[in-house]
Amino acid sequence: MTALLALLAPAAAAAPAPSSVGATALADMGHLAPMMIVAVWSLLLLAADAFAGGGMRQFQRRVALSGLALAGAAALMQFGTVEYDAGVPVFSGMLAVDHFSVLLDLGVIAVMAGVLAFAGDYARSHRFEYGEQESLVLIAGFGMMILNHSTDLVAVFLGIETMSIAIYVLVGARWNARASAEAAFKYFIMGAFSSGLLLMGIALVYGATGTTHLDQIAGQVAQVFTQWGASQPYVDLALHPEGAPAEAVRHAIDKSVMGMAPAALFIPGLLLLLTGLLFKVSAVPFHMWTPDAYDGAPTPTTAFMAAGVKIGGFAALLKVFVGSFATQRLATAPYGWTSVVAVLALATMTIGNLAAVQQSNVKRLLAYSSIAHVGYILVGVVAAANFYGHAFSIGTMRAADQIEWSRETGDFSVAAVLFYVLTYAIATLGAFACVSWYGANKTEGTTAHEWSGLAQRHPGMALGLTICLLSLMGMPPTVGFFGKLAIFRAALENDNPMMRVLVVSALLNSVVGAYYYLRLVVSMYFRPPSTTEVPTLPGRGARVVVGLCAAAALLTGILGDTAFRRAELAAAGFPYAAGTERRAAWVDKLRTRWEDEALADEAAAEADAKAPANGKADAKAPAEGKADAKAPGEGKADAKAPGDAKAPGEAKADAKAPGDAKAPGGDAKAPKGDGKAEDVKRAP
Amino acid sequence: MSGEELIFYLFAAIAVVSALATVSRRNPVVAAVWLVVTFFAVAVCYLLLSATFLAAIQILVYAGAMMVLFVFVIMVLDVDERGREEHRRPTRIARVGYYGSLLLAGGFIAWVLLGTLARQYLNPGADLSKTPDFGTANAIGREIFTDYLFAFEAISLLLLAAVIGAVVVARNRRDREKDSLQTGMSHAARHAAGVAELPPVPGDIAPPGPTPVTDFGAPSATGHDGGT
Repeated sequence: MTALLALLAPAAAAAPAPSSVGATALADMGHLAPMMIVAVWSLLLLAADAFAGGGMRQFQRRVALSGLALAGAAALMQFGTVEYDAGVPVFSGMLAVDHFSVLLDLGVIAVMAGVLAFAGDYARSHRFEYGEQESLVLIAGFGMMILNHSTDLVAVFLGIETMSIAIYVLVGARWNARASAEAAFKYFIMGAFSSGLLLMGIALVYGATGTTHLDQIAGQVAQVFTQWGASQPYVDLALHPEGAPAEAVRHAIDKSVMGMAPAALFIPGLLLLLTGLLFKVSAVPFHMWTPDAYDGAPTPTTAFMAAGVKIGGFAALLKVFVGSFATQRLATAPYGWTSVVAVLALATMTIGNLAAVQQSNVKRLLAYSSIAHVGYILVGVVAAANFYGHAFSIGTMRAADQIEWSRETGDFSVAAVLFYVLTYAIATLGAFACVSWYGANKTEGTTAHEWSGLAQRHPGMALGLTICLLSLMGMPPTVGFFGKLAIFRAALENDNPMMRVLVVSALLNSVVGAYYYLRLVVSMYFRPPSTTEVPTLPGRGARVVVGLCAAAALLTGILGDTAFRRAELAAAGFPYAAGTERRAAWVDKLRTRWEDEALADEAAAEADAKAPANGKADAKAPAEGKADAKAPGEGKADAKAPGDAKAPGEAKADAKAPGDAKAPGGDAKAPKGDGKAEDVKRAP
Repeated sequence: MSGEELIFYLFAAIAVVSALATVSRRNPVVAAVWLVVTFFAVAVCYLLLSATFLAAIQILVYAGAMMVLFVFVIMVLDVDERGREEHRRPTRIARVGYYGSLLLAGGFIAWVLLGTLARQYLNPGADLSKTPDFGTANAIGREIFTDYLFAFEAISLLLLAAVIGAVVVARNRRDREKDSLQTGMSHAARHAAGVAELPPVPGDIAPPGPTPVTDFGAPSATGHDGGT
């Protein structure tokens, strides 16, 4: 299967213009290999369950995880290769494959693998086992992956619906608990309503711009809102036509309407789209469903919602709002949509944190904490849109280097958002895995007093959960700290008082967050164990996931820089359309910068090595760097063969080297999903 | 005003009025009938936009199949007469919220209408010069299998998820209890072992333990995020 796909992908790239529709579709499917594997596996599992019945269930997890391992391997082969530097538009511009989407795909695949590792155990232990679970998780993941790849509003809607419908079922699947049905009902009603708003918004945006393709919308929007500003003199003339010739007045009216008409349709559409997407990521005015749905759902589903849906939701939010709607007059303060989102971000983190403090139920606590994290991530979204908004205000004749700077910092903000979302997903997956593990046989240990003294009974799990909570809190050695640091840095680059207020309140909120995370940690370590012992989930799945998530949170924290580079690569040239030269140029620029930095590091290391005669400097690093620098062309061809073999120019392969030089140490994010899947596969 | 415009305004008005009637009628069957009227009026609007295929599908699928389904569901559910009669007197806050949201919605619709009018003014009669086969089954089929191929195929997975959902939610509960007790045994093995009559699991519906078990609608002790 992998061999076939590996054959397919180069074939797709080699054939310049496949003649028939079928050949194009086949080539596009090769580019979308991870997604296609997930889709095929979901059908496979469904068929297997239908024909083999209950006898299949023991194998279902293994089959699902092997499919995810395959998908993860395919995505890993794609990520970071030169082929996808510029991004490849597939299915006539409906989707695109680029580093951004592939990195988020890896995140989604890892989350799916993590959830599936213990979802079966949980369902069996709580007596609601059903054969469609794995299949539904994969279908929901397929929807998230559509969102990651989407370059068209049709794909955005399709992705959100595919994801949501599968998750409604997963939430309500626990038929022997009423809370589950209540949660599903609530989530379904509210979700269907928000989908309706989203669809209405898409219709209005289509009415205003005449297209659903995001890049074309971006072009239209930039044009319209530049005209809007430019038409002010015409508006004045149209309002006060005294003394002007009739023809000029007529012309002025035309011009002013031309400026305003699309905007009058577009802005309601934008607001509706914003509502629909913010509902999916549960930002504050639309967060009411979150605690009840998270609490009532089976805990593996809660983990999936808290980690996976956020990845997909923010992918869509970034693509639509930061990618397409980030024109100056539309996006930036004081009248742009970023000021709305900034206020919502402030409200989201404050309300999420303050409500979390009052919770005595661990599941609800984590639910509110996930709302608070959405607030932090929205700060990064606002920052990114503000930077790009400045960059695209060509009309105000900014200096070229200032535009360059705006785009660079915009890319950095997008990278910060990506990094934060992915690291948050890891930590929250670990935390919810631990909550699922604590309780079996129709009893769940979710009240706070049941967690006291956990460290005495289960020291390993307590440690794992503590690391995940510290990462959510933003404690320095863990990756959560670097995520917050990146977001705050991105926000503070902006010379905007609103952003400073946001950062200060985010910092204060982090302190509030520390209070309730640490309260749980303290009760686990320093309180006597409760008298009633809570049974724990049989099977190793949940324990393996908690361990891997904790290890990932620590490792990516220690190798923060190398991990962040993956996000930077994914975000390079984000506002440009996939498949354009300018996108590729930005990725090239990033790689050149890394290479320069690597050379500078090497020079510094050599200087260090010379100065202290005993060679205190790490001997390995410079040697490795040197090998790369000497043979940039062929040196790295082994690791990422599919990409390099086809590298069109030596220059690109050259530029790729420094990125790869870090790979052995910290290909931090990437192998996680894979490793997780394989580890768990061995477990049962 | 041309004849075409006259027909459009007539049926647009019918669509709006019947849609309002759909959501304001108490009797579900009456509401369903009003919904049929809405579907027909909208289908006529599609026809005026020269979307003939869409109009036909609208009548076949929505006014035909979906409505039959709705009426069946209403019959099967056997809506209680008493439940429809009694309704609580709304509180002042609820009334303010109700009228406030009506006002907001009205303003929003006015905004959108204004935008539409402005766009109409900008280029009257634009976008009507479509390709000759616009709206026919041919043209739609070509679009679906070229530009919208992915969306068309992905929707099948979406609908599959919905079908699975219906099956998962509606499955017979007693069967499932047995089923989940005999985990790991194939059907054949289960029959061979004769374990069809396993004792019922204690604590059937409500799981013992701290999970808040609430009835629909009633606020739970921990629920409804009163903290916010």
